Amino acid sequence: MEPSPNIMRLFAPLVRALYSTWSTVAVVAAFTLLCVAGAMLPQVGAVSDSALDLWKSDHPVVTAVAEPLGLYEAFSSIPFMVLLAALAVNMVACTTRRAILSRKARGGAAVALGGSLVLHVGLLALLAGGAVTAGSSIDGRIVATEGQVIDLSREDQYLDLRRGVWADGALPGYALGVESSRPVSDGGVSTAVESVLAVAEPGAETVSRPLGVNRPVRLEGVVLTHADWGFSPLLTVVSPAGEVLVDAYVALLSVHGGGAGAYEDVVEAPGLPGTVRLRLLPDVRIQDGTAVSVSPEPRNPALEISVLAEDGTVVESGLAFLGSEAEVQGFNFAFGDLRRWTAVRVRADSGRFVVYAGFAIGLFGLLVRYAPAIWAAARSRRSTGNEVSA
Amino acid sequence: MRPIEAWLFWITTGLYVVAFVATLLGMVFQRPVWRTTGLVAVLAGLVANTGAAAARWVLAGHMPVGDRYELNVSGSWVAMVVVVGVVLAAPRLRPLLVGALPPVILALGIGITSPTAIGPLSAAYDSGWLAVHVVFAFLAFGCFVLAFSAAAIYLAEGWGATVRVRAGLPEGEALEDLSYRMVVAGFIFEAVMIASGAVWANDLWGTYWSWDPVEVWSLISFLVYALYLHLRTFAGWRGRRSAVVAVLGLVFVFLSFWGVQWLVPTVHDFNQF
Repeated sequence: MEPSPNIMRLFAPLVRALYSTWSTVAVVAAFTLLCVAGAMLPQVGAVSDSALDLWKSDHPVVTAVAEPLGLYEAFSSIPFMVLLAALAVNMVACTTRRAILSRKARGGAAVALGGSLVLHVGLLALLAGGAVTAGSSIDGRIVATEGQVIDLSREDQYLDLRRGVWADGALPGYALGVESSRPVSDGGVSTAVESVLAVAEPGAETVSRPLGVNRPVRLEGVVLTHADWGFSPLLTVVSPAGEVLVDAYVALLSVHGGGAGAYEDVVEAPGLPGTVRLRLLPDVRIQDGTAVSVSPEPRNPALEISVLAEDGTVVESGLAFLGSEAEVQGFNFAFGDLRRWTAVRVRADSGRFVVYAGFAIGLFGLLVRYAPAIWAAARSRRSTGNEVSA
Repeated sequence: MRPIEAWLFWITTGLYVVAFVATLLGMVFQRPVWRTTGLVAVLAGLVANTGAAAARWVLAGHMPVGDRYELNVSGSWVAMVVVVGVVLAAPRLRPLLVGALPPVILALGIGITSPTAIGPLSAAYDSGWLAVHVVFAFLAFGCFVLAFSAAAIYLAEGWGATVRVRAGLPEGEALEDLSYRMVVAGFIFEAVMIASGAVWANDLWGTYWSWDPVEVWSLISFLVYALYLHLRTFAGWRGRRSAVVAVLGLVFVFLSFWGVQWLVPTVHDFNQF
C-alpha cells in the first residue's frame, strides 16, 4: 500500500531534519561538549571512591550541575546514550541520502560522494562495534601468585568482573596457572614482568603461554592482557598461645597501586593484635640504623611488619628477612617465601573486530573523499607557479 | 641529557626562533634578505632538530619517544618535515612559517621543561604500533599548524593587517582554501593516529578504547575538525567563520596532547610510562 501524500508531507520535514547539516552539527557539537565534560571531570572507576568524594566536596557548584546529569559517569550516562543514538540515526539518514545521491552523480562528484558514503559506513561500523562491545563483552581482572591456579569459569575468582547488558552468564572455561614471573629489563633496570601462564581447557592438554606487557595471550573467545604485578610474601603468624592465625601468600599492592614507591598492604584477621601493615623492602640495607631498599630487585628481601593503632600510628615494628622471623607485640611473624603475583585482564569482546573493520572502511572512505582535493591542490601549485586554487 | 643533545636542542630552538623573526620581518618590510634568512634558518634548524632526535636515539638506544622530552623533540622534527616540505614545494607559502613555527617552538619548550634524563624504554612502548601512532600524530600536528597559520594570516588581514598580500601568499579565499586542504590532510593523519592507538591499546590494556582523558581529547579535536569540514562543505562556512574554527582546532590539539595530562590523571602520562 502506498503511503498517503498527507503522511508523506507530515514526515518529509522530519526526514529532512534527520539528514540536515545542522542536525549533524548540533548532535556532534553536543556529543563533543559531553566528551569535554567527561574528560575534565573525575569519572567513577577511573579514580578511587574516596578521591571522587573529596573532589565533589571541593567543587560543590560543579557537582550540583554534574551530579544530576550523570557527568561523573559521563560515558555511560543517559544523555550520552541518547546522543550516541541520535548520532547513529543521523548517520544512517546521511548515509542513505548519500547512497541515493551517488547513483545520480558523475565524475569527481561521484567519487566524492562515494568516498563520503564509504566513510559514513565506516563510522556506522565503529558505532555498531562500540555497541557490541558495550552490550556483549566480559571484562574481568584476576590476581594470581606464582604456582596458583585460577578457574576462569568461577565468578568468585575475579577481583572485579563486568558484563555487558546482554552478555550471557557463561565465563571463559579455562583454568589458568602462573608458572613463573620474571622481570624484563632494559639497560639493567626492570621495566616490566613477563609471566608464563599454564592454560588448560576442560579436557584438553595444558599449554604454556608467555604473557607480558604488549604481549597478550589470545585464546578462543578471550584475550588475556598483563595488567599489573607485585610481590607476594608467604606470611605465617603465630599467636603467643601458639595458634596459627595466618599462613598464606599475601599479594602486596604494586608500586603504582601502593603509592610512594612501596610494596605494602594491611592485613586484618581475627586474633591479630590490631591492623598489621606489611611492607616489602626488596633489596634491604641498614643505613644509620634504618632499613631501606636500594633497588626494586629482590636481592635481599625483608618484610617490615608494623602493628598499627586505630589512628594509624605505629605501635611496634619488626623486620623479618627472607626465611626468618620477627616478634612484634608478642606475636611471631615468619617470612617464609617470596613470589610474584600477576594481575591479568580477562576480556571477551567480539565488538573489536567490527570496530577494526570500521576503522579500515572509514580510512578508505576518507582517502577516497579527500585525497583528490589534496592532490589537485598539489598539482595546481606545480602547474601554475605555486598557485592554490579554491 | 648529554651536552651534545643540549647543544643540538638549543641550536634547533634558536634557529626556529630566528626563522620566525626573519620571516615576520620579511613580511613586514618586504626585504628579500629577511625571507632568505628565514628559509636558511628553518632549514638549518631542521638539520639541528634531526641531530637532536638522532643523538637521543643513539644515546638512549631506543626510538626517542619514551618520555615527554623525547616525544616533543621527535614530534617537532616530524611536524617540521611537513612544514618545510610544504614551503620548499611551494615557495610562495614561505610566510606560513610565521604562524607554523610558534606552536613548534612551544612544543620544544614543553619538552625541555620536562625531565630530560635518559631512561629505559617502558615495556608499554615496546610495540610496533608506537611508531605508527606517534609519527601520524605529529604528521597531523604539522598539517594543523600550517592550517592554523594560513587561517590566522587570513583572519589578520580581515582585521586590517595588510602584510599577507605583500608577502606573496595566495590571495583572499585561496589562502583560506589552503588552510582547509591542510586540515583535510591533518584529519586523515589524525584518523590513522586514533585507529593505530586503538589497536595498540587493545594489546596493551585489553581494550581498544577506555575513555581515558587523553583519548577523549584526541576524539574531541578530531570531532572539532569534523565539524569544521561539515560546516565548510555543507553549511557554506567559507572565509572568516571557517578560518576561526581552523584556528580554534589547533587549541584543541594542544589541549589533547600537551594540556590535559596536567589537568586530570591519565594513563597517557608521558613521563610515567
